[in-house]
Amino acid sequence: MSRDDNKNSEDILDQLNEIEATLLLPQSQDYFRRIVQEFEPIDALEKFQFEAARSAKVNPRLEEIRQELGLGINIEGSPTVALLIPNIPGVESEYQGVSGKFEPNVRSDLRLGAVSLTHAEGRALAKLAQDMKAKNIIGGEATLYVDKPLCNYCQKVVFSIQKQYSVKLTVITP
Amino acid sequence: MTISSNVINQFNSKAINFIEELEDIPWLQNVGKNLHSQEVRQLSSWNEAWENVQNDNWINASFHNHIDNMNPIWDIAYDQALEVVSKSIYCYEFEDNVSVADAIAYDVAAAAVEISVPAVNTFFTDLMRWYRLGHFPCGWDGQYPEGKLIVY
Repeated sequence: MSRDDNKNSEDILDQLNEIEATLLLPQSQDYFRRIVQEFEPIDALEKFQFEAARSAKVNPRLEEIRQELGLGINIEGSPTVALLIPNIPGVESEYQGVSGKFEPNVRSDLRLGAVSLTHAEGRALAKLAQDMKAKNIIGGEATLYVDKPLCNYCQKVVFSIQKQYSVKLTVITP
Repeated sequence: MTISSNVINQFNSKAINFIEELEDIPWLQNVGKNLHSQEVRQLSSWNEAWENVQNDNWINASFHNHIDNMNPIWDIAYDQALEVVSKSIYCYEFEDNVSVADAIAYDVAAAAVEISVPAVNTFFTDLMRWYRLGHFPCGWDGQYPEGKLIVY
């Protein structure tokens, strides 16, 4: 092995260590360890980089939110981030949602079930529903950007916003 | 609960009876008590129940078959279940401030659709058996349809 090869190997291991240091949740740490065991270091690194790039690909704001909140890179098992951008007269803001313990649940009359209340997409939608109810608004459109694929549960319930508040929802995920 | 006549005309009598029965179910009264059943795997705490509700195995089992949640009876059953379970003294709030009533309302609404539009699949209708016994069906042990139901 040449000195260049050694240098590259060290770089790869350094980058893997940097990724590991950003992981906040046991499930993402477990996932990291499993992939590092199963793959060659360079392949593991490429896999993590590919997964991490999903946030910016879906919407660059998602990556910014991850960085602002110190959520680490977007590998499997890491917190999910959602961004809801409404196009609804009378509703000015955008709504963010983060999964799990990184944000409190938001109560609204939106029928989301128990699971989605803890998911990023459910929290962003509940914030919109809360505002729309307070302002007595229905209708309009909104785009929901999520930096991981929607789970089966959320796939079903996110459209409650359409049913209950007549908001035409577009969902964009990796 | 009294259901208005325009609603009654919309749904079959089984579905109406199902909604009316919700008030009489002993919601969660027997959680933690031994079921003496090999048919299910039993849990012994709310913490375990909450972990299982969020587990992919349960989410995948629950959504293995399509449930038409645009069916109007879904909304009626959801709201009614949320109300009656929330009123129960046995209703529990998980550590994430999520009420177990939110989880149950979804199951009840899906069961109402299965009853209203008779279908081959009876996953949610079958869960009602455990609710009627005062327990909380909340997880799936294995990869659905293999494996078995987890009940608290």
